Amino acid sequence: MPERDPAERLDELVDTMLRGSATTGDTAAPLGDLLAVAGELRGLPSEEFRARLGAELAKAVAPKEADMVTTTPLIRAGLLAELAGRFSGQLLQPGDHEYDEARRVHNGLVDKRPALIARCRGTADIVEAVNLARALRLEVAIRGGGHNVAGRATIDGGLMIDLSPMKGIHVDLATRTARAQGGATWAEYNRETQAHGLASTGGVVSSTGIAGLTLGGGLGWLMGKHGLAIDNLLSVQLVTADGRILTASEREHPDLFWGLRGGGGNFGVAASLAYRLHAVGPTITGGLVAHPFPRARDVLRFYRDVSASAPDELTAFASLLHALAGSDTKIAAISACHCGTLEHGAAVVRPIKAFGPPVMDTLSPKPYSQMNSMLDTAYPKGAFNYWKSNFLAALSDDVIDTMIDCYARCPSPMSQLLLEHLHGAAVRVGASDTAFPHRRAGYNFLVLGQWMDPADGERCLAWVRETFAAMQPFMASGRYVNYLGNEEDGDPVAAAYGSNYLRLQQLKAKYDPDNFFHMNQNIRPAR
Amino acid sequence: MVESEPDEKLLVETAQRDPRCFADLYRMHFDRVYAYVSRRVATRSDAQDLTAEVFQQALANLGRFEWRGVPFAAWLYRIAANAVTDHHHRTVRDQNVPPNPEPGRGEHESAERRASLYRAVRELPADQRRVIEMRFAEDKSIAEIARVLGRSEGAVKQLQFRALGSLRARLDQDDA
Repeated sequence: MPERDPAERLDELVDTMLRGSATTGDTAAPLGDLLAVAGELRGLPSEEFRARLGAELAKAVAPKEADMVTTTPLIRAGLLAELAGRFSGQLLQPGDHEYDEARRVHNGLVDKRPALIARCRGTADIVEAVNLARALRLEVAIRGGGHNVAGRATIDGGLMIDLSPMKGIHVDLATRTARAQGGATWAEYNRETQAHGLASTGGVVSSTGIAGLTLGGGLGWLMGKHGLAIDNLLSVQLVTADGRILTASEREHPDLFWGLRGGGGNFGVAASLAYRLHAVGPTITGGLVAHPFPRARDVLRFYRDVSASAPDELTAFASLLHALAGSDTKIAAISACHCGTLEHGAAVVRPIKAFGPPVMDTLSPKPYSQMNSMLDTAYPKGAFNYWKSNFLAALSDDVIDTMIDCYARCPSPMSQLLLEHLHGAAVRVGASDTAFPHRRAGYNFLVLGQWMDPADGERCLAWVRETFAAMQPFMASGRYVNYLGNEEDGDPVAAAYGSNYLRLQQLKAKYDPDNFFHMNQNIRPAR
Repeated sequence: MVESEPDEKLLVETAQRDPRCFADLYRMHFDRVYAYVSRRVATRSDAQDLTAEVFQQALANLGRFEWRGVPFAAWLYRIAANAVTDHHHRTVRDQNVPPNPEPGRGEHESAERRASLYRAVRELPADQRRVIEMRFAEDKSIAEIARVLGRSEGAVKQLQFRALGSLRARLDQDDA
């Protein structure tokens, strides 16, 4: 009789123990020793609980810190009226006509009620709002486009500094630069810059705000050719925690400028941002090709080959998704944008169009601004969003198979699995040249849970968590800060910044030692 | 025996000045509180509720904690012991529950040992860690874990075997 596999036998014993029965048969060492360890592990706390309780305790501290009991009457009593006399934007409190619309952000899961919303019309308004928050010890959240998936654009009981009225964009043709205020979206930015046939790397969903996306790094269709959004950033006009207006650039406060390129909203409120512009289009080659889900394995393997050999001009993403929101038809798709000449573009995308053949093919010459809004309808405002994301160690066959197995169980037609390819100019920058450290060619993986019906919430959350868990063995250590959620294991901010984290903590201690701006993916000031 | 962690005094004093820094104390002590509480209540849900209660009380009363050389963990164990007693009073109203004795050194030692094991789980290679978490923290069967991880059941059992072996070695090392 062949000898029993010890792993098999151990599992039988563990199973019996976990079901509460007495173990039988051989439990002597070494299996007995291992079973004893298993006994100690009974009731092991879940990481989800540990993170959730930590978040609840952090939240419990927040209102205490803000001392809302005393500050709210103060706001009503006089300080607000005094500020209102100078403020050129709007000040909204609960009960005001536009308050409910103003407090909403893109992610429908986020339902917070700020004590005050300061809708700023200019830098001076931001300074006033920061000074008011500091005087009243109110916690602060900064809203640009309101797309942050973790809901860091708003806050319960604090002050939301809302930049959405600040949409001024000036294109300087002589220097090929553009300066845009912090409330502009990529749709608005592209409209102004494309009027001159110019563009900078921006978000792939055009309703995203320029400030939040840029400060976290800024992946986009042009990154293979022109780098990330931060690689085109020339300067930022910033309102700091002490209410000063600083310009950060290579020449002025270069240390701060380094930190702003990836460090998110940790150092202040970005009143305006200046970018380098490039000749792009206005007609580029872009779109999406889709294949039936049963061919997903071949499609993703093909995507791996195509992306690995892509010229800088081509940036390509792959996704597992549904054909239409509400349909049951799962598909595998490659989305691509080629920003070079139309002739070169046609040659580069020819194999992508020929593969399969696809069941849908929109990959063709089109205006760049259209390319940048192609995905907008798939991400409607108010949809419930729950994401988890990590860079992959490699796009192996096992990764592809695991993605397909997981997506086969996807409970919501609006949810996706997405691979974003970083290459070219985006990875020819040194890991410590900016605060954004992920400068190796490769793929970012995103589980994008999205649904409209609150009743679907539980199973969508479970699917995102299970999918992310299944992908754990294939993850690299790095994470993209703009995709981090609220319930993350470990220290996600440290993972997002890797070897740059310590320098960012020192910078935070210099520019925001009291951690005034902490409603973000927070970098704790060095002590 | 509960050893005082290095710099713990500094951490406690910092959290007393700025409650946001309580997060550091929470991370440092979560495992031992959970390990202590979970062996004294019947269900996972009770263990979670009481662990939450202990940290909420600790946060609320942090200003009253005075550093007199007694480790912060001992203070937490005391809160936990009282919370467990109150829990039993609430749930077993018809029984005469004796007052909770001072938590003994033996009880602390076994909680510390389990807490050290919980920490060791987090240091396992990612695939082994997920298997152990799903098996023991999420109560999943081998078949369910295999499905989630996209591995065969045999492979999951091997991962479990290797993980328990590593944890055993870690415990032996701690004991030594």
